[in-house]
Amino acid sequence: MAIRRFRAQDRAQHRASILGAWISAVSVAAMTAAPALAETLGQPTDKAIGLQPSGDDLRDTAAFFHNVILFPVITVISLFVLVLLAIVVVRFNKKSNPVAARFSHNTPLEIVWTVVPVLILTVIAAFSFPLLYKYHDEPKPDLTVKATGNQWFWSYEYPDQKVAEYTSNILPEAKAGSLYKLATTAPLVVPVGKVTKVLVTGADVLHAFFIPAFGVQVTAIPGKVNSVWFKPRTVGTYYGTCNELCGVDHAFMPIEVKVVSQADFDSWIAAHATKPAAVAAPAAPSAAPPPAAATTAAPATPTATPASTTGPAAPPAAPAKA
Amino acid sequence: MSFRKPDDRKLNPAARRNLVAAICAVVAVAMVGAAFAAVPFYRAFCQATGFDGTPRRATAGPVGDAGDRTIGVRFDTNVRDLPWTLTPQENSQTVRVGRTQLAYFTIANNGDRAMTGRATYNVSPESAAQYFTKLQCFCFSDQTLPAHTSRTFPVVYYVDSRFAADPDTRPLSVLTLSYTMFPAPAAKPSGVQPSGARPTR
Amino acid sequence: MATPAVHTADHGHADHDHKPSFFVRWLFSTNHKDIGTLYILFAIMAGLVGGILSGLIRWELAEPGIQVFRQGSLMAQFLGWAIEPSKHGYYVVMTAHGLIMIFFMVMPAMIGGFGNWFVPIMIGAPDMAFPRMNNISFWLLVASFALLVTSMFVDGGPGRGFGGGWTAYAPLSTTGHTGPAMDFAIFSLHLAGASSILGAINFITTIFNMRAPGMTLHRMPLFAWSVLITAFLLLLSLPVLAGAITMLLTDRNFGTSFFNPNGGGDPMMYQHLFWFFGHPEVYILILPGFGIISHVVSTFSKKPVFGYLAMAYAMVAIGFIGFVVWAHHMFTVGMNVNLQAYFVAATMVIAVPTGVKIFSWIATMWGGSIDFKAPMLFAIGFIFLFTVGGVTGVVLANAGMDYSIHATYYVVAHFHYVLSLGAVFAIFAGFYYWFEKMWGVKYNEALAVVHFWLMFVGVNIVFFPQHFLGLQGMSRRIIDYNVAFAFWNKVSSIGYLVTAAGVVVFLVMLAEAAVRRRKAVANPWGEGATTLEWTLSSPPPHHQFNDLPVITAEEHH
Repeated sequence: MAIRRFRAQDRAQHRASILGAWISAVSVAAMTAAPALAETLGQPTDKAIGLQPSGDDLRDTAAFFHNVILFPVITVISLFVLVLLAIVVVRFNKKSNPVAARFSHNTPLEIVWTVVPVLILTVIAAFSFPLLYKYHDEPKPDLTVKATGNQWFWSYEYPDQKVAEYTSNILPEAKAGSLYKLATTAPLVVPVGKVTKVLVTGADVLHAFFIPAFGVQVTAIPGKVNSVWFKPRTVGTYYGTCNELCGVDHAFMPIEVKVVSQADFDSWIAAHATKPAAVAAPAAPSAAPPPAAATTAAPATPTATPASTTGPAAPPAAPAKA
Repeated sequence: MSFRKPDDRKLNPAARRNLVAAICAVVAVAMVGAAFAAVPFYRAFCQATGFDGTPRRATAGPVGDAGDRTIGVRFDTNVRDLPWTLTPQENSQTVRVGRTQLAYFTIANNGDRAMTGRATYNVSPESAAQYFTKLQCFCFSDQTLPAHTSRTFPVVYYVDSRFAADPDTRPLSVLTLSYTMFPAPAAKPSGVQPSGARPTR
Repeated sequence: MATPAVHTADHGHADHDHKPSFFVRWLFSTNHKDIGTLYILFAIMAGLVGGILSGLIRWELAEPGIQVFRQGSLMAQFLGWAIEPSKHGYYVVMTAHGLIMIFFMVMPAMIGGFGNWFVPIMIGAPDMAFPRMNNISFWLLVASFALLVTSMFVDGGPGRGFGGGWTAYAPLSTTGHTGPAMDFAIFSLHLAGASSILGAINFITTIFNMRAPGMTLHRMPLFAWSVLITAFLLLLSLPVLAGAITMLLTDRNFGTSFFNPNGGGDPMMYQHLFWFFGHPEVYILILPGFGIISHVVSTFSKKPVFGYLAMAYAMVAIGFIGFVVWAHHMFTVGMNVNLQAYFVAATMVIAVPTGVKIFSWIATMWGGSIDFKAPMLFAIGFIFLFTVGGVTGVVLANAGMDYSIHATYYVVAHFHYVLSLGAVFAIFAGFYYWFEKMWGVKYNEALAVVHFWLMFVGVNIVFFPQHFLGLQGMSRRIIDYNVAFAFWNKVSSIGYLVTAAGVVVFLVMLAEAAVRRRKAVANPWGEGATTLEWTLSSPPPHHQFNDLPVITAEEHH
């Protein structure tokens, strides 16, 4: 694929990133600093106007692409058009210019406004394609988990760690407080600094696994498995949502990823792993109860959220019903 | 275009109008046909190219030299709307490209009557699917299991050695083969599973 | 733009015009102007319905929590008979808003309304090629709308109506909605599609066969060009939608498995088919607007259109590329990375002809002697807002970026900037531009200007903050959101009130014009208005061009 050649632009991007550092400072400041918002990693912030802070390196590249390349470019283009319109309004209204010119051609100008956009798009593409391929050049995963979208909750499974599938329901408002519609009864727990690969599938209709801070999103399709990967940099809790309309409680099936230290992760696994020779579960809903939610989980995160400290292992809680 | 002019003049205006409209109508009908034709075409295209994560099927083993490259193959299983379990003997295998491999899957019917299931499958990431070839699989046909029985099926497959040469797949260290077991359409119980049902596994 | 060197005055014919009786004229109408009027009245009605639905959406989203779509709310008391006061009701409203605005507001206004009214006149034709088929097209649309409304009242499965979004992705539209509401919606789309396909055949035939002597394609006004290209897009894309939703119908009712994975189908196949239609569809919504804006900008600048041929072929290019970019709506479904790269590249290419159009409009104004009447205000508003919507489209075109903002409010802001602010502003520009011509009375300029400013300010307050929400990760199509999205949602909902005030002023403007009945003149815009419709009286005679005009002069070369 010829497009592959854009991989060579990886290095160009590094050079440009030095060059663009000051632009970055200006534009990021313009986008976020104006109201001087204290943004919390992993969740949205009220009144914020830019991308959520990044939780992994690849998402940093995406954020760089947006904040330093795309956002300034589209702002400049929009302002350029606005300025041209302003000039037209001021100079070429019927009072200041009673007699209209009659020209309707200017070949050099037409060539310029065809070629210049092509050049701008080429610059954008030089950053866009490497980013796209980086998302798809998946590194060797340290942990593989399985996420299944159901109407209307997510369920997670750690096949290699023998953590059986458990249900992650929305945490009720009384417990979740300001994190209502983001927090869950049982988060997905992953170790910090490791590549986590999430296999995503759908149980009934389409859902989408979306975590803004990691810049990952993929559709959960019944009968098919998709995957995303991320490598969280810091311990903390990262929230996402189902991002494909899936029925009446679409807005009420959040995703909560708790990133913990390796030691805390190991103890969480130890507490939740089932015996390998699990009995084949009958189809009845009273099948193997999911592991206790977060009670015994290591509440290691410094920013302990309500979700991580509550929830006496509700039995396989029914999904929120309409 | 000038060469059409003489023809145009032969037709009276009404006939010419009808001709244009008829051509348009044929185009519209053809596009409906194309939409329907797209379904089998898409399926064939997927099978031919690995598009949409469709692995290939073959009757003969790998040709050419086996490479030195090894790759992880992960098995993912799902069961929908059936009181069954589908369990791989191993969650994953490490295989050499260009070598035929064997994996075992156990299907258990925990229901009280015989049922027929059908497995869909795909390979993720999608770019790897074109190199994943199955020689034998329980998913090639519907499987009927009596009540409260289980059976173990072999799956014979290989990863084409070209996997190691393709720049799209070269960086990958693991690919995932996923199965989803559905009730076979004819054997499907009436209606659909009520929404909100918990996973059957 | 071509100017009629010899035009036969039809004005004298008005006296001999034999208009049919009221019922025959409006129910069995075969006159392109009467049918155009019907389409425009229909579009205004549908636009008000769709606008009220969007008001319910913004009302619900004004604050976190569910206030409107629940038992006992004010909405439940007054609209509970029509809209289920439940979460499902919200999704039904959202779906209906999208379908109504697309199929029953923008398309009827631009293609059925202005297209019917002005394409025959602009090319110097006495009427459309198939007047009776034209009538069928309109009444099919009415039947289609009736079916869509019916769909909102019958059982959908999770509740009354279909709430799966205008895209109707399987399996939510098959196994996820078991009631007949989805079937009604499918039939509604079938009829709307049939209506549009018949309309497209009519336009293509009319434009190819009925141009006045001397009216070559390269002298044809840009609005006629835009409708011609739109008609081709309709002809090629709508049958695919018809096929796709027919497959949905058989999957739902007759046990086929086109999209059901357990029968060997693939839900992604539906998305490919849908967007093969859906992407050209969004150009169908905007291309006639491009034509309208060219006329308005040229007329009020008193200058010929800059780069006429480039403008025409830019539209051809946009229409063509529109068919090869569909999967940029599907970057997150797990598509092959090389294919994604192709769709990124192809999508970004659209920016080039679009840029040509934007800059050519500005060049048309440059050096002009511009009269800032209401149509021109809407046209300038269009150019700027469409630019904003266009550049956010370039952001979304990058698959690597799209993963962070796909299906968020950033997308909602993007497509409302190009449609709600782009296409709708173009419709208003055309509506005021041709107001006297169509209705035979003058509108009140002051009211029109107030309408413009309220709309302009209002829609920007509604949609600009939605970019922020999207970047922060707020999903589209959710009834309720985390409290961290509260502020900008509140702002957005306040913007709705401003926009609604603008629409009220629009209605007042209509009423004022209808009551005062100031007599229209043939050409209110002066020397800049050069197309054939301005050579006719306002309103034009019931049958124009009994003697065909002959077009000789051309000013654009």
